[in-house]
Amino acid sequence: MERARIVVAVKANIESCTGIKDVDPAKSLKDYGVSSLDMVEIVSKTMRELKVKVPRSQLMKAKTLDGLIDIIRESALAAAKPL
Amino acid sequence: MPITSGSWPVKTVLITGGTKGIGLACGLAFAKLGAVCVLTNKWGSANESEIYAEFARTGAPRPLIVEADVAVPEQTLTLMDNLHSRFDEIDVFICNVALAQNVAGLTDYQRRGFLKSIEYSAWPLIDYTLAIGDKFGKYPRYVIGVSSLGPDHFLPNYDFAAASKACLETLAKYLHARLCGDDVRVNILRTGMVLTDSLLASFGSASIKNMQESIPDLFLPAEDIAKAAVGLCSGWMDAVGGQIITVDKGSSFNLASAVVNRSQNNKERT
Repeated sequence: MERARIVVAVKANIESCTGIKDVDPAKSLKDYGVSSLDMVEIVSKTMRELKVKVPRSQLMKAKTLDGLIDIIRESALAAAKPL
Repeated sequence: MPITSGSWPVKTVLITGGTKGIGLACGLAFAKLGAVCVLTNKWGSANESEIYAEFARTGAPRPLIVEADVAVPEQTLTLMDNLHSRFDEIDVFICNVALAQNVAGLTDYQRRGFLKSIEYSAWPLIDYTLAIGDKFGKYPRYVIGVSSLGPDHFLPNYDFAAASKACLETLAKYLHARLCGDDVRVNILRTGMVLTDSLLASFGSASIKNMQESIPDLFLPAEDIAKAAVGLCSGWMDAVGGQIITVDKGSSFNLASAVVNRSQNNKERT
């Protein structure tokens, strides 16, 4: 899955869930006021839209938008790998 | 006397957060006795084919897995329409789902996160029970809310989750008082620690490891909670209503002695 597609989806869901626009990808999401519960809502919406499954336990690792996108991308790539 | 499928009064069970952890264990326990279980989830990260296979291995009826966010009223209505088209009634409703904002310190005390935590973790007990009553013309005979030790004990990051559980427990008592005349029993299972994704997301692995080392008895398998839920719905406990039943092998009563023992052990080591 293309990274750019994930970025667009996550940014849109950050805005719809929290009202926060134009997130700096390298800045801490917590500094923007994004809570753990917001993260759950943002990622569950994104998962549904992109048809990706991300283990919830992975969310604690995401500190920035870049980090979150990496986690979603890794989950998508892992699911796409042939067994 | 063990409950057998022949004498089992429950045909249909609805469980929120039913695809993992305590919810899934409850589903399996009821299904083994022949009940059809509806397992809802929001996160959608569970492997559905594995769940179907697990039910099939035990000879249980295939569950119905539905994505439904308890905090979105439209999805609750769609779920009820779906269930009404398949079943005559819902015998048991288990309000298991819980989702709360982690609170690491005072700066995390935010009104929005608090209210959302209540919306996800306490309000579904009311919302789903009333929605079932509206749709089916009959409430579930058994309603169970899954709570935790949080309302009475400090747990890391758990402020809003604990407040939500306290709210859930209080609402359960009032709901029972209002519905007991309709042959409904509302009870709460206040559970010890069960190692689930949700627990890991709330406390983090370091805190969990610390708690396991300090008070190992506080942890119990999800199946123990499921057995208590089955017991409440067996017909043998129909006189129990509006109660908060602690399922923790008695360990929470011993918390103080566990702390004392640990500090004595630490002193001996030094």
